[in-house]
Amino acid sequence: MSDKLVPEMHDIGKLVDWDSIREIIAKKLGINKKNLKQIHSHSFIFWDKEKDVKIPYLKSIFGVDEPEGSTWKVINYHHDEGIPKKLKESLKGDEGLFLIRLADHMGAVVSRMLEKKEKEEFKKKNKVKKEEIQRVYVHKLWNPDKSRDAKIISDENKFVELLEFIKKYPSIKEGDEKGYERYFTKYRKELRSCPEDRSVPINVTSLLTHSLLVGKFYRFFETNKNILKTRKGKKLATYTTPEDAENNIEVLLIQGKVSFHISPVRTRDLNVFTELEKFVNAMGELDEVIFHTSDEFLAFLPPSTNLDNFFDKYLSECLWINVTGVKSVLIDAFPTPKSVKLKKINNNLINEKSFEERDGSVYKNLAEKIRTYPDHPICDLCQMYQAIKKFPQDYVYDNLCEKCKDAVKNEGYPFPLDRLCANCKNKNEKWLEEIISEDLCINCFNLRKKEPRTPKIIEWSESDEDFKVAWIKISLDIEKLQRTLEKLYEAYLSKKGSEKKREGEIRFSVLSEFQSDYNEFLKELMREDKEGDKKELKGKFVDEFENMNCQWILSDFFCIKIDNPNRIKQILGIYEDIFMRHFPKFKEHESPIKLSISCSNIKFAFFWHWKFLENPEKDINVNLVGKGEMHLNMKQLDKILDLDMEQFTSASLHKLSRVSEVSKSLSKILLYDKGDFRLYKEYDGLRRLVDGGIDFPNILTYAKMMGDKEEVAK
Amino acid sequence: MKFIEYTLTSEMLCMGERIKKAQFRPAVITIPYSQITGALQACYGNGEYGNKAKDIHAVGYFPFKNEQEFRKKHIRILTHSPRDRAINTSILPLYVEYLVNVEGRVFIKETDDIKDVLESDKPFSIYMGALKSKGFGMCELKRKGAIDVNDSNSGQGELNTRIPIAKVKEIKAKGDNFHKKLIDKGKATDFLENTFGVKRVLKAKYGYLFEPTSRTSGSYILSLFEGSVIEGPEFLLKDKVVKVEELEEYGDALAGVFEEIKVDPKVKQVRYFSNKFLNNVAEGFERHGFEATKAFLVDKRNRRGHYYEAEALLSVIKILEKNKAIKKNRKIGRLIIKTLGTSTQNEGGRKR
Repeated sequence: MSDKLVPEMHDIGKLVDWDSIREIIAKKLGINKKNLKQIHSHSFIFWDKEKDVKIPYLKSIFGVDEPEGSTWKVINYHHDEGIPKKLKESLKGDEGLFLIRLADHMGAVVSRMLEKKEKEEFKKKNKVKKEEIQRVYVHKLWNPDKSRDAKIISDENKFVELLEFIKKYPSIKEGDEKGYERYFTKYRKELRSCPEDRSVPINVTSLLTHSLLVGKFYRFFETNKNILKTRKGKKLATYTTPEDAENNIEVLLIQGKVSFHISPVRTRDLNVFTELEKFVNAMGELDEVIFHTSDEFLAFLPPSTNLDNFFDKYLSECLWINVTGVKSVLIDAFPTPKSVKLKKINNNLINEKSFEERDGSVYKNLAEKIRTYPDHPICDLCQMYQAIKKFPQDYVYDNLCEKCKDAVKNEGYPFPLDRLCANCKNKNEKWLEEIISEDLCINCFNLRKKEPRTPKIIEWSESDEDFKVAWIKISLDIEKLQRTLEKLYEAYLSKKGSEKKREGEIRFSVLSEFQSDYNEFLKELMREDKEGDKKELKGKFVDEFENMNCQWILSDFFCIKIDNPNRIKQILGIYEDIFMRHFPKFKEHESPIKLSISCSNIKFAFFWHWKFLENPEKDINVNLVGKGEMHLNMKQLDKILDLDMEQFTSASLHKLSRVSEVSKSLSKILLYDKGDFRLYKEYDGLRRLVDGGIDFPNILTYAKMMGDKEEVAK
Repeated sequence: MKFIEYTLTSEMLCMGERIKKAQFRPAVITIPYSQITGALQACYGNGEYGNKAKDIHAVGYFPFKNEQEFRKKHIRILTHSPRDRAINTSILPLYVEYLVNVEGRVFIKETDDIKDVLESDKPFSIYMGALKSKGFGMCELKRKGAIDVNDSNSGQGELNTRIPIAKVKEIKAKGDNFHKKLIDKGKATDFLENTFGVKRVLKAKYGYLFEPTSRTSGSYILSLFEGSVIEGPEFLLKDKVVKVEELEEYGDALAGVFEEIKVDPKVKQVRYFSNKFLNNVAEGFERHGFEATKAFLVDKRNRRGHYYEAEALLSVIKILEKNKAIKKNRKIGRLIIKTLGTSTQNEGGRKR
């Protein structure tokens, strides 16, 4: 086995059904089971309590030589409670073990202190059924029905296979392969179904999530062991116990939201999403970043980090980061900076003296002054850098062949078409016909020059057909996610008979566990599968609307071409169906996931759509440009999708909606007014909806969306 | 450091970002330093720039609870096609967002150069923003009071306007990278501190504001935009000065009207409002207005059968007259009168 420590493998022993293995060992070696002591519940090392010696069962029973190396050491000794005194002395001061233990604490579901106490309490209070104890499963807080029993290894042959795997791992690495990749490839199914901790109610994250997190934390601590310090300057590298380190070592926890300056107005400006994706993907690869969405991330950094320098190599000029940050000791630093600030306000921090707010923002290369000239004002699109290019003039010129450049060098723009070769003419004819001229900075200009991220949208915008497009954005609010998961966890705890000690106890592992399910949810809606150079769109939206009408932009941002706004109902239906399959519990509580749809003609300026899409008000938000908006929660979506629009006339809906714009009270009175009996009868269905919390503007927008009868009541 | 607070009202105001794709001009929903100071310089300045210009500084904002609601209520889109005079044809339509019927707050720093204007209580008008030749930009300023900036009225919060970090002359004097301490440590520049009392910038949201240096040119200066978190005077901070109850209730322009009608003693006297009578009064009110309706009701009061109803409706008309929305649009008043029977019933719809 290679001696490079692979921290992700530290809990590989949890994949094993140790009761079965213990039976085999006891039987074959004729040892009383009671004398068989395992170093810890998932260690491969067994000790004979009576003779006080290590039992060499691996070779004698399974025919496998004991593996060696730092990873093997970590697998067996990263919990030190059960290590015999003899061994403990030899392991004292082992840096790898210390860092793994610390990383294990940080990546755990709950605080270790509370975990032990709670397990004891739980056992005392409850007579847990035998089946419940034996059952090993991950409980998904947002989708309890998705819990599947874990596949753990009890078979002798599979146990040998596991041992051989550990022994030979990973002697050769290929290319950029990461240390854990082969492990995860081979045992992914088992790791996903096995909980990090089998005890109910701590079984809320999978071993896969926990292992990934521990890997990140380990490498973070390893790299920064001489930089991370206490308030008084003692380095992490000098510590030997994780508890002491957790209570004293200071760290910077930041939440970064990435935005762009640019106001995208041409389809080529959507290349800014390529920059956004590049940045976020780069963040996801960093060990410092433990959670990320398509535009937000949570990261740990040493407090002395200069954020401008740290992000400089990843950030491009069109992006900036809004940073919310706190400095605190490790044990206080979870799960988000805002929740740490709240703990400070409520005097719930373990170490208040180390607390410091560290909010800020990160920009790239901002000048204090931009001197403008008549020909070079500030950039029209981003308004952050000097404009030095004219579009499309400079774009066309850059795209000409050398011969054509020479031919037109003394000509004014637009260049006469007859001076260009056939190839250049074809490429640039549409630009030469444009009379618009824009002043752009080099960054915005280069964005437009790049390979278009949204080729279908370019094609649609050049078409003469009459159709609409629906821009679809799914947003995840990390703060709301944390609050909702806390409520769900409390409900799970009380259901399982635990006392409520858990306020603020949602830690990174639960957020990361959610993230993998969230990514699956997004992929089910729409995803771009890459096979070599080929890209293929898949997902339920693609099944419904066909590949040629769907444009994937980001994992949570799509555009669909529709012939009629009433097809938005199908988008809502698909979304609701998939949402309820993945996150049924979010319907009962406040959903941290929001859907926004903005629909208009393709020519409508994108930045106006973006204003709507990036500020969702409720769970479901629909904007029909020029017609109205609809904002609903998930329960209301059900009711409105079931609505039979035939029972209303447009005129009556319009009347109510226009009155409600002036006064909601008056519109409600009109609804109950029996003065006009015909109207009173017509409003019957509406009264039921309104009593259910859906107001007129939403119903009217929905009516307009479903198309048809447009009679405006005056 | 003293600032004079004004309310700024305007029926049509166009303050926008740079035009995108030569067609789209989005609106700005605050009153940046460059806009208001430029407008004041145009009225009360001396036509000079840089060191020679009059010492005038001002900022402002539009108070609102919810940005989306504010946009729905106060932003319209003007589509117009600028004509090319040479060929006498319109080229492309221009979609310009503009603000309608807005009320904002403006804070002008008291300096010697503008003291006379600030000491007077008389409202005055300025022109601000774009499309002035098309009738946009007329703003009326009414004095509200004076603010002496000190520690007791300073705090930490989100900036609600846009202010440059320095003037061009200061940047020239201090050279390149003078803003490093601001970016690295959040230390306010001299201009921010001495002009506006800003002490620290905890989180900056940057952008650029234009400062003219001559009639035909100028520079864009790095500036703090709304959303930045600063330590400074409260009038610069969101939600600190304009109390929530002062803000217009966008949700209901008739807030209070129904309550007042319900508790009116003359309305309470009426056991039953005849639908026919209410309809007649409502139609008449919409067509002929307040005075004609009052005259009609006075006449009805003197006849048998409608005395109490007429009395009640006269009280209702007086209540409606006090409401701005109803005065602007009598259709609303018509609906209120028509539904008087329902609105004055107890909950559950029992007849009085």
